[in-house]
Amino acid sequence: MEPPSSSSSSSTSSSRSEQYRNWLELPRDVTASILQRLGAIEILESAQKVCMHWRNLCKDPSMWRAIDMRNREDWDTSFDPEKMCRHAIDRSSGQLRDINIEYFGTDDLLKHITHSSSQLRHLCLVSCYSITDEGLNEAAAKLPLLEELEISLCSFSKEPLMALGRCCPLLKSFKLNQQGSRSPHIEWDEEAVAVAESMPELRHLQLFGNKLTNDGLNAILNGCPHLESLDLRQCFNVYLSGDLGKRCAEQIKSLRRPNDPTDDYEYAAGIDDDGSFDEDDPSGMSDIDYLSEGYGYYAFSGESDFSYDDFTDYGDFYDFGDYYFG
Amino acid sequence: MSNTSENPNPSSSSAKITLKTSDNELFEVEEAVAMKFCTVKQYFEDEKDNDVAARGSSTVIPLPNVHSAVLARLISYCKKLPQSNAVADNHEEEETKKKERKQYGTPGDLVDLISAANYLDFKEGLEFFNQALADHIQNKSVEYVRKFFGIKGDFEPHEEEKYREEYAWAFEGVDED
Repeated sequence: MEPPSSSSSSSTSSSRSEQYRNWLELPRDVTASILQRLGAIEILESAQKVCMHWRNLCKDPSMWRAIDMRNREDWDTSFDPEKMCRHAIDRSSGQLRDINIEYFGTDDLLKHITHSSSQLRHLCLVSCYSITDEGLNEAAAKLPLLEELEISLCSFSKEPLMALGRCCPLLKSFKLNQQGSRSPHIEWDEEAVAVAESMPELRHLQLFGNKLTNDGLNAILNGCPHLESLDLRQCFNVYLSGDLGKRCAEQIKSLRRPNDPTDDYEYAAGIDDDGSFDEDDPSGMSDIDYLSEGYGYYAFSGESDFSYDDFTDYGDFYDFGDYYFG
Repeated sequence: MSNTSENPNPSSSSAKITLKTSDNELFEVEEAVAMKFCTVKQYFEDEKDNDVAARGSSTVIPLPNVHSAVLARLISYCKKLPQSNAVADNHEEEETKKKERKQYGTPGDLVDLISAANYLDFKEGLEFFNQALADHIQNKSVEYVRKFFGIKGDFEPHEEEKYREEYAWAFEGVDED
């Protein structure tokens, strides 16, 4: 791709050469602010290779207070994201406050994060199937300042969630998102109970696609009295009629109901929904659709023509499903 | 373009402030707009404290680092505030915002706008134009960025070598463990 001409109809009077000169003469903090917006991967892979001035800027720990390594569609597979992430964490020299990782998280990486960053305020783990309950449990103890936590499209049992609640007294925002599904019909209040019992200071809670029931919701309303926003979209075991609906409306300022629109949901919101609420799905196909979402939710979101053959490629992720069905 | 900022709803509260650019153009702008530039605000308040001027309109505030063409664009941007910097909730909204940011011209224009916004301490503008410039280099190769901005690769061979050693993730087949 050729760069477009930049001289044409500019309304400023600067000549090309002046523009270029200006660009390198922008104050250091301004250039840093621009480069920071590119995200960790692009800083390491592009920006710091442009010139010495940029490379030096990119070595400053203040550039690495936030590390966003969520997956992008154009992810370059010629590098190892975990090594890259470790390098980014090292560059932050303990100043890291905000980290997002997707797909490549492991217990070791989590340990590296918590050991090198005592200032962490925001942690987001998306589709990190390699992180175990034990790994998360251990990390919890090292996150005393954590205020915002997101665990999306991966599953943990009640214990590490409770540990996070106990060890992170400043936790204000928790997102625990799953792919929504209606069948098979599974009721699962463990996560809701963990939240209710260990996170009394929560202000914002997102439980997209959770299997909690009205009991779990009641427990949350009791256990988290300061809750201001609650997102229950695609929580199809929750029925917000009668007293519970009334209570929610009174207690929660911003409530997203199970069947509310999902346009602004951050991840693909395709439901495992074959058009019925049939609990005895003889083919088990709906489970398959659900599992597939865990692996490649960009690719499969909202598609209903997923076939059994496709599933064979994702056999490794049976374990992920066992958590629910075992 | 006229250097006087139009005011479709004149009212007693819309006091004007005169700004003088590096090329000696005078801009008469509404106080509300001028006060978004913290540098101007500070100057104006200092003047008031010194009792040099009771009314802003009688004071001309010099902006020796800002060209008239740039100031005109900043003022027109100001009038579109405030929605511009609200965080986009979803992909679609982000795309709309990206398009909006693209309207502010070439990287060269943006660099001028950023310099001016920085000098004027105009935080919303700086945020907006920084992001607009970042959009231009997002997902672009090193060569593209260099060419686009006229930046020369100035690495010594030993720097390149050091880089390859330090950043082993980037090269296939290299395993540092």
